[in-house]
Amino acid sequence: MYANKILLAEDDTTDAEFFQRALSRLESPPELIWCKSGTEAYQGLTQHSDPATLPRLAILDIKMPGMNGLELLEKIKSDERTKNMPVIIMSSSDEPQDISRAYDCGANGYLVKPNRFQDLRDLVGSIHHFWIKTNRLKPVHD
Amino acid sequence: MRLTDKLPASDQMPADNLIQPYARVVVVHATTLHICAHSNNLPNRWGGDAGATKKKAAANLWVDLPVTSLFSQATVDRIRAVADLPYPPPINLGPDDPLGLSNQQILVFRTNEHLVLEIEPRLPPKDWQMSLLETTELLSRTESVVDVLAVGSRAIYKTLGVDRVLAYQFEEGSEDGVVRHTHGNGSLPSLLGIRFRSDDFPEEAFRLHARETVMAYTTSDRAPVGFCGDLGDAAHCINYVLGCRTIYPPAESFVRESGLSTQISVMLTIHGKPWGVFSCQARDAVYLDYQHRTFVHLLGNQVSRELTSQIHDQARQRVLDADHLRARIRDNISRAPNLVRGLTHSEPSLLEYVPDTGGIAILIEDRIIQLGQTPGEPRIRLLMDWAASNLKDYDVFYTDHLAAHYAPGEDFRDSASGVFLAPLNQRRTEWMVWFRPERVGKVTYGSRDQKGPKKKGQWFKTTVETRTGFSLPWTEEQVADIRELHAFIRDVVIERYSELMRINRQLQVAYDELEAFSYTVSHDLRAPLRGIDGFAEILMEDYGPKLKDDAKDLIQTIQLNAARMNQFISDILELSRVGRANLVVNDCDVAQLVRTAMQELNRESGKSVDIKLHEPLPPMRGDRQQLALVFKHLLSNAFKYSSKQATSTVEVGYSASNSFGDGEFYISDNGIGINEDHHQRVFGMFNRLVSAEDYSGSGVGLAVVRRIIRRHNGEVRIESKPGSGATFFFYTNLPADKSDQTF
Repeated sequence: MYANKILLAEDDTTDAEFFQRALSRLESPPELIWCKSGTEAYQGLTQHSDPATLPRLAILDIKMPGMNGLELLEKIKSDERTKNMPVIIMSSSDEPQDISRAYDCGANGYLVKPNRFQDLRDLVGSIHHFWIKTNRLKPVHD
Repeated sequence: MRLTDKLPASDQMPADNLIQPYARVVVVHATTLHICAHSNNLPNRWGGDAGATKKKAAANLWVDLPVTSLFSQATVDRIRAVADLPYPPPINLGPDDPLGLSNQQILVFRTNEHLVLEIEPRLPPKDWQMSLLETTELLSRTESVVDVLAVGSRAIYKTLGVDRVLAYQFEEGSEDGVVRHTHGNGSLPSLLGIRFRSDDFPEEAFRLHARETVMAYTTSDRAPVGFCGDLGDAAHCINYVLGCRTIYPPAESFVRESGLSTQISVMLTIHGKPWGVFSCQARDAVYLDYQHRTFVHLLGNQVSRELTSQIHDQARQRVLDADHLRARIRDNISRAPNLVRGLTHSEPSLLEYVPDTGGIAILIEDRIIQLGQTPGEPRIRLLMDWAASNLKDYDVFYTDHLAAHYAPGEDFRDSASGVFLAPLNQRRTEWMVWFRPERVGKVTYGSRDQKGPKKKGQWFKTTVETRTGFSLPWTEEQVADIRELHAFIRDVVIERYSELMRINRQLQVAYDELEAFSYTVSHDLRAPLRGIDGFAEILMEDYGPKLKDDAKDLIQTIQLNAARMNQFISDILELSRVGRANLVVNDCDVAQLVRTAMQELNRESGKSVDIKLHEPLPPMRGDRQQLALVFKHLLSNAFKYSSKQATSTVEVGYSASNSFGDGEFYISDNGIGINEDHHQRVFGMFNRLVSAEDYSGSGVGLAVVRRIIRRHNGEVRIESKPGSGATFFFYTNLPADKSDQTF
């Protein structure tokens, strides 16, 4: 069973804090694990790869120092322990080639970072809603 | 001036030491005045011709005797008096002269050692002055070369009393000549338009004529007359200068074969070069005396001068016209968007550059561009290959008979009997070729071809030949003209062109870097912007109730500015995106593009606006997505600026021609219009000509339009006046075979 946790890999403090604040306004917000780089996120995931501790959802920024979001995504999806964890790529780019590259790497979703806080809150809300709904179901296995 | 200077050794005229039998010649030592030699037809001391005596000794009777044995002392004094004058006047023989011949005159020629005395019958004098005056007057009113020849032929005809005068012109650039004008009494055929061959006018004839322009020959039942005694240095004068000299063999053949008795030719020269000849014939014997010959010589000079002036004027006019034409063509070439377009779309056409051009082919960038009538592309390519490997020693190569140099040329002689090949680059991989079609038709010669083995029978027999594989010859002037254009294209345009290519490559690199830069910057700029906007919002949410209204207003202002900044970034991103995306080129249905754009605009604005679509519209070649953006921005623009009109009228259509002959699409509105000074500015980024309050939008739309259109190798322009709406014209220009074209 996945933990009530969301992993956020995001090097930009402002964006991370936004996300944190958007989450915190939800009812029974999930715990946010914030990693400031792809490398840090990957280390955390491999250390907590047990289904009980694995985050319910990972949200990855693309542009990060060191291992970027897409590289991290590929690692997650090629690792037996983590490949079933849903991953959403979240980037400020709405370029079609960036979006299709993300899906090519195995992303389960692609979100363009909203420019307004209000929009981000709505987005986080709907993700949370989805998460609560799916939480009542069985964990997703192949 | 009477010319007695020596001819160069190369002169091949027969030095037969013979004279025509109507005259008599005496050669006298210049200082002793003793007779050194004389023609065999001097009367002997006992009456009758000296040469007529059977005994050879008798023939020499006058040799070594003093000249006074033949002429009276008074005559001899006159001879001595005129001998050193540049133009010795003729001396009349009188009853006192022992020789008799009192109706004859002596012409005196001075050589280094001798005096050559030519004795010829004197003709009744004419009113030379009046004739000359009349002819001069008539010549001054002529307006063309043929006019000049007509006046000249008539004057000579009247003066000489011959049956026919032919005005014959040597053809430039070819070896033949043609009868340009004829004047006569009808007793001889006119020969107008008949051609003669170069062999009919031996090289020597040209040279002799250049010195002594009049040559008269009269047949006689008496044989040409030889000399007795030692001619010494007088031989040259006798063979080449005297009025009674014998003529060159072809002319003699011509007279004999045509059943004529008299042939007189008067050379016409331009700047010292033979241009043509007045060739006069009579069935009866016509003799000329010195006065007649001199008069005809003067007429010839007059005509030559008038011809020179006419031809000079014509040439000048042609040069002026050609200069004007050339200037326009050059201007077109240098102003065209590229060399090929300049060469092919010039108005006036390149084909008009040189008269009688049938077609032009240009091999450039491995493409063959054809103008006018040319052989097919495979043939042109083979010809270019041949030229590249066989014409290394020529800077340019031209011929009016290609098959003689390039055997396969025979197969396409109809369009390319004449070619002018000019390489456009050092490696000779690019060429410009001018084609002249075959000049088909029969040519009537007044003589038979004398080339090859010696021919029996008549020389001057009319022969009709079908000339095949020949075009009009390239004249010196035309060759110079083409060379000049060629040099212009090669040196100026090609140089500039390669320079442009280099600059273009540098620009492309800079442009690519700029694109990458603006992409990165735009995305990175968004993060802090989100921070500004987002934290302002959080501030409002969390602390709004505790804030004063003034503070809330300030926070809103912060958010408003963040939103504007965000719009700018979106615009920059859009502009950058249209520059980077690969083009997928198709022929796009314009009506469909318009409908798509309209749907999107209506959806965005929530309104439903209408346009007039002038169909049918041709397809537009380009990337469908990008062209859709063009229509969206232009239509959006049209709606925006005509929104304040009572009824907004927006039209889309196609106008069939622009300055390069191609059509342009247009989108017009009846909006506020744009001042002409701003027509270029509207296409810049963030250039807004009206206040943001009146018309919303960031002003990047037209910059996007221009960038897309230019990537499609086209252009967009505006026609507008303030208050009377604006029309945007645009076209794309992509080749049919390139699907991934970057500008």
